[in-house]
Amino acid sequence: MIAWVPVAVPALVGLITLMLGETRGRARNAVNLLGAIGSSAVVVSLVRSAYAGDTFTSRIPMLPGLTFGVSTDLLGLLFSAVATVLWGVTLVYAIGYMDHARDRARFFGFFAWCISAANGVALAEDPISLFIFYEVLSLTTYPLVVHNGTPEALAAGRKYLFYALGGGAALLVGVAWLASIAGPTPFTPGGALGAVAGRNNELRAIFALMVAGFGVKAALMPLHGWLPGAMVAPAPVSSLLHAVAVVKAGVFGIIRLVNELYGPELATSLGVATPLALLAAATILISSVIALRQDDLKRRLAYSTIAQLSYITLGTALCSPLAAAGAVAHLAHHAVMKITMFFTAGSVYETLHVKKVSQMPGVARRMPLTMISFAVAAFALAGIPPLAGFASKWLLAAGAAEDGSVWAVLVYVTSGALAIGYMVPVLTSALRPGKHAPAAGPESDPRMLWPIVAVAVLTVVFGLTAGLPGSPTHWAITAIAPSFGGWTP
Amino acid sequence: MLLDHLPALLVAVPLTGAALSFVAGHRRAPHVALVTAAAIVALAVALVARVLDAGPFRYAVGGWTAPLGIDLVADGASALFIVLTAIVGMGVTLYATAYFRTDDETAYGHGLFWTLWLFMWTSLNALFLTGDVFNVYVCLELVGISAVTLVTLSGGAEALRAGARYLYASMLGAMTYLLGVALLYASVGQLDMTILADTLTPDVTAATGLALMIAALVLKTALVPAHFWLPAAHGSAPSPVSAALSSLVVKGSYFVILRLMLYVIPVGYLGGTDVALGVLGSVAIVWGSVQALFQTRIKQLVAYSTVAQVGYLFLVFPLARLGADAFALAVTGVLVHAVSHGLAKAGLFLASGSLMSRFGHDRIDDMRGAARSAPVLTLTVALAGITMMGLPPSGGFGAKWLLVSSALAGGAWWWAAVLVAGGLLAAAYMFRLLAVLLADGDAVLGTPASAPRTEWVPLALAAAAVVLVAAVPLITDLASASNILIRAGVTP
Amino acid sequence: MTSYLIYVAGGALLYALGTYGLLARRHLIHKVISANLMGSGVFLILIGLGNRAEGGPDPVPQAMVLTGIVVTVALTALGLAIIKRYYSATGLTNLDDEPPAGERP
Repeated sequence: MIAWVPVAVPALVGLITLMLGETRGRARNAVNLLGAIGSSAVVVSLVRSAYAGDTFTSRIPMLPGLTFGVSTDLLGLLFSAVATVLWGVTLVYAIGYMDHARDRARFFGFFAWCISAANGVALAEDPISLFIFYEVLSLTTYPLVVHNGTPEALAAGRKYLFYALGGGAALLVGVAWLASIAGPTPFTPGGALGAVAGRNNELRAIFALMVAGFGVKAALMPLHGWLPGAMVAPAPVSSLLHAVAVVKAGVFGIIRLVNELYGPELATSLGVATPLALLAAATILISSVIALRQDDLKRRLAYSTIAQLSYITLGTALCSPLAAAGAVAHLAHHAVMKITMFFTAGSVYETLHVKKVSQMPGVARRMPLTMISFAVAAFALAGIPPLAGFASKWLLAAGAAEDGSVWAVLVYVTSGALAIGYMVPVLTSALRPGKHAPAAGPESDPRMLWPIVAVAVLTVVFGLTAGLPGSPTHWAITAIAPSFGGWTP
Repeated sequence: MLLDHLPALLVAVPLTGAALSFVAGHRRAPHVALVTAAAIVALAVALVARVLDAGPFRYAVGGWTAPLGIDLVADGASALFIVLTAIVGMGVTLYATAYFRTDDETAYGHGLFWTLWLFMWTSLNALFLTGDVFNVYVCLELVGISAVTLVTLSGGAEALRAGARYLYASMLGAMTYLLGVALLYASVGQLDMTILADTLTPDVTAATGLALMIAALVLKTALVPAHFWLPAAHGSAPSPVSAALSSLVVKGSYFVILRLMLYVIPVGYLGGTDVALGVLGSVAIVWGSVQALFQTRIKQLVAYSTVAQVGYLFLVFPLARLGADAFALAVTGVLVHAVSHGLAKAGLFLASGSLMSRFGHDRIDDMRGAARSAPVLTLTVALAGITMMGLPPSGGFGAKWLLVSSALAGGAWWWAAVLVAGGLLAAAYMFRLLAVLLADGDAVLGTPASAPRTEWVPLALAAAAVVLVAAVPLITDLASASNILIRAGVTP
Repeated sequence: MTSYLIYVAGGALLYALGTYGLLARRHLIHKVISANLMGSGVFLILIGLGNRAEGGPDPVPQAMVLTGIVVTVALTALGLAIIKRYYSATGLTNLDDEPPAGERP
C-alpha cells in the first residue's frame, strides 16, 4: 500500500483544496505544504529502500484480466522524487506569485492533482496503468492552462487538448493492441516482450503508436505545437508542469518504452530506435535555432525545453548504456535548471512586468540574486562544468561516442553551442544599464525569491556531487544498469 | 417468502406509488415518490444480489407459466438495467423535489409529474423484466405514453411541438412493432423469447416479422437516421424528465434489441443486419457529435450527445459475431457503456437544468464564468464529460477498453478506430462547453451559497459514472449471469 | 384458406395507407387518424391469422388485438389532447410551420 502514497497524498490534497473553497487561504496553504513535505518524506524513504533492493508493488483488479498497479523501482522513483520535491518548492513560489490572483482554490487543487498524476506516470508498473495516469495528467492540466480565462488562454487550451487527446488516442490503441497480443506486460528492465518476439511488424506499429502518444508530451517535433502556446498559463504552471511534470511524463514514457517494455536489444533489432533517434536529433537542432530568435522570454525557454527534452529522447533511443543513463540523469538535471529559469521569468514579470528579452536592460541591477540564479541555470544548461548539465551531457555524449554514433555527438556539441547562443543574450541584456534602478527594499517577494535560489543551489549541488551515491547521476546509472544486463560503467 | 416475488414487486411497488402520489395531492406527492424510490432501490439491490447468487430465474405471473401465461425473466442484464434505473431514478426524484417546487396551482401540469414519473418507472421495470415479445409492446407503449406526457409538462409551444413529434414517432414504432409480432406469431405461434429462441427455424415470414420489430425498436432508440424526434423532445422537456428520457428510456427499447439480436435470433438469421446496425451506430457517433459541436443551446448539445452515445450501443452487434472472446468482451463492454452513459447523461442533464435556472437562459456562449459561482455544476459537467469521452479513470473508459479489446480480439481494427474517433469527437463538444464555463466572466446570478442543495445530485450521478470503473468486475459478473452469455456459452 | 387471406391482404393495405398518411399528411389530426388506420390494419392481420389455426380460432391473437385496441385508444386520446393544447398555444395545425418566436422552455 505504501507504493500508492506518492499518488494518493497529492490527490487527497487536491480534493481538500477544492472543498475548502476560495476563501480559506491559510488552511489551503497549510494543507498543500504539509502534503508536499509529507509525500517528499515518503518518497525519500522509498528511495532508500529501493537502493537497498526493496521495491514495493501494489495492484488492484480493474477490467477482466487487467490490473491497475504501481511499483516503486529506482527509475520510477527518480521521476517521482523530482516531481514531489519540486512540487513543494513550487508551492512556496506559487503562494507568493498567486497572492492577488482569483480562483486560487481551483489553481492549487488541480495543481496537486497534476502532481498526483505525474507520480502515477512515474510509478505505473505496466503500460496500461501508465496510460491511465498519462490521460489523467492531460485532463488535470487543462484547467491550469486556461486558468486566466482569456481568449488567448482558451485558444492555447484548445490546442493543448487537440494534441494531448490525439496523442492519448494513439497511446490507447497501442496499449490495447499490445494487451490483445501479449496480455499483461509489466515493465521489466531489458524488455518484457519475450513472449511475442516474433511478431515484428505488429510490434513496430505498436512502438510507433506509443511514440506518437508519448511524443506529444515529450514535444517531439512535429508534435510540439502545443508547448509554446501553453506558456500563457501562470508562471508556476509553466515552471512545474511544462518544465517538469507534464513534459517529463512524455520523455519518461519513452524511457520506459525503450528500456523496460521493448528493451534496448529488441528496439535495436526491430530497427525502431534509429528513426526515433533521428527525429529527436532533428528536434534538438531545429528548436534550438528557433529559440535563438524568440524575444519573449517564456517562449525562448519553451523552445529550449523542446530541445532539451529531445536530448533525453535521443539518449534513450541510442540504446547504449551510458547514453541511457545520461538521459535519465538529464531528466532530473533539466528539471532543476529549467524550473529556475521559469521561476525567474515569472518573478521578473510579476515584479517589473518585463516579458521580453529586449526589455530586460537594468533587470540584473534591480534583481541581482534572481539573475545570478538564472545565470547559474543558464550555464548549467549550456553544459559548463561543474554544474548539473555538464554531468548528464557528458554521459550522453560519451554514450553516443561509445556507440559509434559520431553524428549524435556532433548534435550534442552543436546544440550546446546553440544553448550558449540563446542563453547568453538574456544575460547580457539584463546586465546592460536600463530604466530599472536598484531597489531599496527586497528585490522581490521573498516567497518567490528563495525558491529560485534554492533550485539554483540544487543545480550546483547536483553537478558537484555527480559521482556520489544518491546524486541523480549515480541514481540514473544504478536504475538503468539492469536494462543492459547488469552493466557497470 | 416475499423475496421470491421480487420481479412482481419491482413492478407493483412503483405502480402503487404512482396511484398513491395521485391521491396524495401535490404537497405530499414528493414524499410518496421519495419513499417509493427508496423502496425500489432496495428491491433492485436485492434483485442484483439474488441474480449474482443463484443465476437467472423466471417468474410466472399469477402462477400461469409460458406459453399460456406471461413470464417475467430476471437475469444479469435485466438486473443491471433495473439497478441503473433505480439509481438514476432516485437522483431524478431527489432533484425533482426542488425543481417542481411551486405553489401555483394554476400552472399547467401542476403536480402531475410525480404520478407520470412513477408510471414511467413502473413500465421501464416491466420492460426490463418481461420475457414475452407482445408484453414488450405493451410496456413500450406505457413508457411512451408517460414519456410523451412528461415532455409536454411545461405546456409551452415548443414542448408541445416536441411532444407531438415524439408521439407520432412512438405511434409509427408501435404499429410497426405490432405488425412484426403478428408476422412472427403467424410463423412460429409463440411469443415467449426463450421458446422462440429454441424453436426459430429459417422462414421468410418470421424473418420479416423480426426485421420489422427491430426496425421499430431502432426508431424508439433514436438510432441515426431515426433520431429526428429525439433532440427536440429531450431538449425541451423539464430537466428531470430530460435526464430520465436520455438516460433510461432509450435504454428500454435498446434492451429489447439486445435480447432479440443476441439471444433470440440465431447468427446470420437476418443476413447482414448486425453489420448494418454497427455501421448506423458509427454514423450516429460521428453525426451526433458533429451536431452537438454546433449547438448554441446547452440542452440541445446534451441531447445530440445522446444521439452520438446511442451509436456505441449498436457496435456490439458486429463485434459479437467475431468469435467467443470478442462476443463476451463486447457484451460486457456495451453493458458498462449503457450504465456509465446512463449515470453521466442524467448528471449532465440535471446540471444543465441547474445552469439554466441560475443563468435564466440556455445560451452556451453567455455562460462564461460559471466555474467561479457554480463550481459544483462545472465539476459535474467535467466528470460527465470525461466518462462520455471514454477517458480514464471512468466507466466510459472501462466500456471503451472492453469494446476496443473486443474489436482487436476479433481482428476488426476498423471498429476500434470508430471507438477511438468517437471519444475524440466527444472531447471536442464537451470541451467546447467546459471552455466557456472556465472562461473569465461574472455573468452568473446567485452564489454557491444560495444554490439549492439538490445541485449535489447531478454531481453524485456524474461521480458515480466515473468511479464505475471500479465496479466493472461486478458488471462482468452480471454479464456472466445474463441469458445472452449463458446461452452463447461464453464468459468474459 | 382464402377467407384469412382476405383479412391479411386488407390489413396490409390499411397498414400501408396509414403509414403513408402518418408520414405524408401535415394536419395533426390526419396523422392521428392515419395511425389508427395502421392499427386497424395490424388488428385485421392478427384476426385473420388467428383464424388459420386448425381446430377452431386461436384465442391468443384475439387477446393481443383487445390489448392493442386499448393501447391505441390511449395513444389517440393523448394525441388529441396534445393537438388541442398545441392549437390553442400557437394557432397551428401542423408541425412544419415555426411556432411564434419568443417562447423558450
